[in-house]
Amino acid sequence: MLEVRELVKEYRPVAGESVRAVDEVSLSVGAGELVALYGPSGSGKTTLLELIAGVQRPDQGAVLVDGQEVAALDQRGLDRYRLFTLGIVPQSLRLVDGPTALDLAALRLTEQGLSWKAAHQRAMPLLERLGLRARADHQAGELSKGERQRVAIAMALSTQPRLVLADEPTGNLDTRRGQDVLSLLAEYSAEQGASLLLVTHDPQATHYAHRTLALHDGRLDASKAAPADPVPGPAS
Amino acid sequence: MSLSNLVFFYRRRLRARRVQELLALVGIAVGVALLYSVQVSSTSLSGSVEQLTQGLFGKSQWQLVARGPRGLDEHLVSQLEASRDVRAAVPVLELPASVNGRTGTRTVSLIGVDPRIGQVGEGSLPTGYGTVLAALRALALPSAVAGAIGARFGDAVTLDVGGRAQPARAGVVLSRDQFGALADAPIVAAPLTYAQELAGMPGRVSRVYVAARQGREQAVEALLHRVAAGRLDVRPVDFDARVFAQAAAPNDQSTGLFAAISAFVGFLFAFNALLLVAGQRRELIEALRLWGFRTGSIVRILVFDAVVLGLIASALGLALGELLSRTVFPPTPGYLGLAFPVGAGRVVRWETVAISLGCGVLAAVLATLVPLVLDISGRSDPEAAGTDAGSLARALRSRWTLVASIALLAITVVVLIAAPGAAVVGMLALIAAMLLLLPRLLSAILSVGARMQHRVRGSVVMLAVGELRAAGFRSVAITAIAGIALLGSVAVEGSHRDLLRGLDRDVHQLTAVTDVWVTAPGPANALATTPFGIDAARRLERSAGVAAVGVQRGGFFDVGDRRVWVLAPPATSAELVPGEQVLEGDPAQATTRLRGHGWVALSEALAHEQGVSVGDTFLLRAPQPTRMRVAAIISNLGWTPGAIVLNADDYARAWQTTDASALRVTLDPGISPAAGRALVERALGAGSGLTVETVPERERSQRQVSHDGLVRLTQIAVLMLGAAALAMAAAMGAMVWQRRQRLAAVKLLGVPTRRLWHAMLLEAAVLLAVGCTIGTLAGIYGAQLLNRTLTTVTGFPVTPSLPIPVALAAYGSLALIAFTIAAATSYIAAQVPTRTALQD
Ligand SMILES: Nc1ncnc2c1ncn2[C@@H]1O[C@H](COP(=O)(O)OP(=O)(O)OP(=O)(O)O)[C@@H](O)[C@H]1O
Ligand SMILES: [Mg+2]
Repeated sequence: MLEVRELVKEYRPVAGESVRAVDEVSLSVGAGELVALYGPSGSGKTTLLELIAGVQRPDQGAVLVDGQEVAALDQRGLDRYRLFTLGIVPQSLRLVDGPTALDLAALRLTEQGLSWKAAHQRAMPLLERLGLRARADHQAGELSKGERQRVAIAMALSTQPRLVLADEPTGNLDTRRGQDVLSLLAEYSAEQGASLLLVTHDPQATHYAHRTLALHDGRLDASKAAPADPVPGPAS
Repeated sequence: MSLSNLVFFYRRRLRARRVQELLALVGIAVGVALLYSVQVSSTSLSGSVEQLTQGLFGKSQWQLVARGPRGLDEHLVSQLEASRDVRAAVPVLELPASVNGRTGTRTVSLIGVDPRIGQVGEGSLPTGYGTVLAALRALALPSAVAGAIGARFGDAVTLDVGGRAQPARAGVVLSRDQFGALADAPIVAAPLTYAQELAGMPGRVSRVYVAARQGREQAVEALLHRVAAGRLDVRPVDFDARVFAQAAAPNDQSTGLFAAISAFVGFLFAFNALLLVAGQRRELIEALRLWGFRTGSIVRILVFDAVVLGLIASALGLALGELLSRTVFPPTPGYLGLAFPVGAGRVVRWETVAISLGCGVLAAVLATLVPLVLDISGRSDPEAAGTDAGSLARALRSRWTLVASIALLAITVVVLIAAPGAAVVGMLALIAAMLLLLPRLLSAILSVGARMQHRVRGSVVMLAVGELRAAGFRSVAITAIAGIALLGSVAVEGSHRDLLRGLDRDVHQLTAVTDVWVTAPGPANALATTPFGIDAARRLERSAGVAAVGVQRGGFFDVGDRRVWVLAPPATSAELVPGEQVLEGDPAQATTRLRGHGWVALSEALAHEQGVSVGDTFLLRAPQPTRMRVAAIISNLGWTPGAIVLNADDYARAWQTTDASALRVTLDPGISPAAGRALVERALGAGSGLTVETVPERERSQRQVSHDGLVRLTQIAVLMLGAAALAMAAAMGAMVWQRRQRLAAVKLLGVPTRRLWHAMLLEAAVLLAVGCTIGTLAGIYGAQLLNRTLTTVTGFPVTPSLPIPVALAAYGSLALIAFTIAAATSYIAAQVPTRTALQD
């Protein structure tokens, strides 16, 4: 489903040496597979996700989704890719303030052409799953950081994307909520047969992942495939 | 915190909010520029009148003034000089004139002086010049006048004076380095005897300036009153400046009011721009508190911010204002030039600079501090920045604002009906009411939008409504700019048009009373106030094709502080005062009375000031003081200081002159006006120097004068719209720019760029529609307020109407310009790289 081939991305800062944020990374995530990506801060995780989401162009290599190269898409193609194929949960998301949590969760569905009523009906169970039922009518500005992150997850999953990219989705959540989110993501990928790439520092994630990868200075590190001290959690 | 630390800290923080500070800077600068340039143009007019008297006669204390254009006898001067208390007595002949050169015509005062002027002048004509000029029989032209008519040293010019066109020569050009402000004065100076000869008034002077010996002032004043014997006026030397101030007041007031409204738009703009950084500022304050800064230091940091902004913006505004006042708003005397020697020189007073600067700094301080104090920018959490959770936003939507705005509207109704003098209060109340209603109106519309948003598929409506609601106070501020600008310009321009229509109607009523007019030449004579010999009438009466010739008299005449227009139509006129101009008394009866002996009609304000009403007696202090009875109270006939109407025979008796100021020629039936004009011109002969006009021609030359004087109102209205369009576009642009990250986030989620742009267009359209609509409605109402004021307080003849075309034009142009700019900025903002969403 997702295939990354020898991807290279180099940053040339205004001053100082250039940084190879992603250095010849190859990986693939199959349908229904959940892959966790670990790595210290600054190791290139977000950059990798950006390359896959088509937000940045790689210097070398290619990102293939269902055999289609992302960098080759034109603007229309990219928009359709993001709206129909992809669901992305950014590290932090500035939400539009004004619409309610439910509106936001339904926003992408109505953009796909659904009426608001139908979109609300489809988004509501997702919010419930994320423990936001009581917050459905609240505006983004009235939500806590963790609640906002869960709204972002609902927005990503609402359209039933076949590829989900999540950048530290549990970063602002307590252990229990974190577990809930992780199990939701795992269930989702299993049920929908979606590929899921999960960037995280959260040790719990290993328990939900089929595979674990580690990134160091932009390179995939085969030897250190798991965090040092995994915390026991429910087996996947 | 030391000053150097303050400066360092300021520069560090400025980096993060350059754009917003720049916007605020522009807003304040525009406001300051408008305030400054409008003030300069009005102080220039009064200043030039003052400078002229000051420069020529500043060291004298009194003037003995003749009441009529025929002046007083020159021998009076030696009588005064004979007194030991009198240090100097300087005779001056002063007459309205037009000087024509190769490239133009200027309205001037012909001033005849002799070398004695050196005794009372401050840096005026050096003594020698008079003698030289007297020998040369030439004119001295200030460089401004010489430049305007294209005359150089030695050139031949023509002087229209006393109803005659006189050839003359430019003997001296008064340059600015030698003569200072005098070089800008609208005068033509000549040696006294030569001037008397040009004017055909040998041995006559208009006034005598008198300086007393030290400590003998009272004795001299008493002497002057004895000499005047009730037939001349004894006035302080600065009297002309006072009379001018009275005449210029209505114009100054209206321009001042409009300038204040435009400045307000500018300052609102600044306020709006600073609202954008209020969130950042609050975070800064909170951080400083946590780090242990004392309140004093924090306040100093904030005030320093504001004062720096205010000073830089004001300096910029003064420069811009200086430019405006040189190019767009040069001082134009307009119709005041008919009765006063008003120059085109610019006079800048330190008060003007101080007021403009003060307002600029105050605006900056308020705009910086008010958003912080009132907590209107919402939570300091950057993601929630701009939420309208603030207390002011809440307060603005409470029921009390509705009550308050209804109360304010009630005030405007009271002003409209009962107290038209309080126009400023009325306009401010109207603006305040509108500002209080706006947030309610906007939130009502947005909640309708919020109800609608689920009916429309797709994210456009949702995003637009969401952003507008979230922007809260800021969207209100944008609509407020549109509202105030439209209110101001529709009210100003609407009332201006009504005023012009009223003036045109008056001109028509006063002009369309005969077939052909004969008057002394020159634009200075638009009101037919220059006298000329009556023999022209005799000649016309005898010529074929002329059925009748009516002699009209009149001129300017000082009553109290007012320079009043005296109009004396022939007693045989069908109506001596047009019926519509009669405000109190029966029009038909008024005409009957005025035809008889000893009746006058007075304009309203003048009658009030004199405490007389219909039927009362009124002492006309003409050269021959005469007790008259008031036949009617009339409008001011378009001359704001006031008007007096009596019949031409009574005028001749009171002013002791047979001169006419206009001839009304009635043609034999069947002769067209054009043919009539030609035959009158032939009958008068080529050398008469008189101007012959048909009714439409005469109306046109009069209209020119009134329109010129009021053109500034249109300029202000247009400028206000322009400033508002820029202000709104900038504010909307800044608002859009601030949310680039959120836009990027929405794009990341798959909403195409085009749809984001549409959402932003919808937002702009909503804001513009709300602001423009309420502003236009308020403006139409405001025009009625201004009309009432102009009518009752200034006595301007206004024909009230609903300014629908003006409103549509203003609405259309503001909405179009602002929408276009907003569309462009939001198009650019919509192109934000998606990547921005993933950065902090
Ligand atoms: N726009 C940029 N210009 C220059 N260097 C950049 C830019 N963006 C990221 N980098 C550098 O690239 C490297 C990888 O950054 P990236 O954001 O991908 O790290 P990360 O693994 O997501 O870190 P974290 O866990 O802290 O989010 C870092 O060294 C960073 O400094
Ligand atoms: Mg990252």
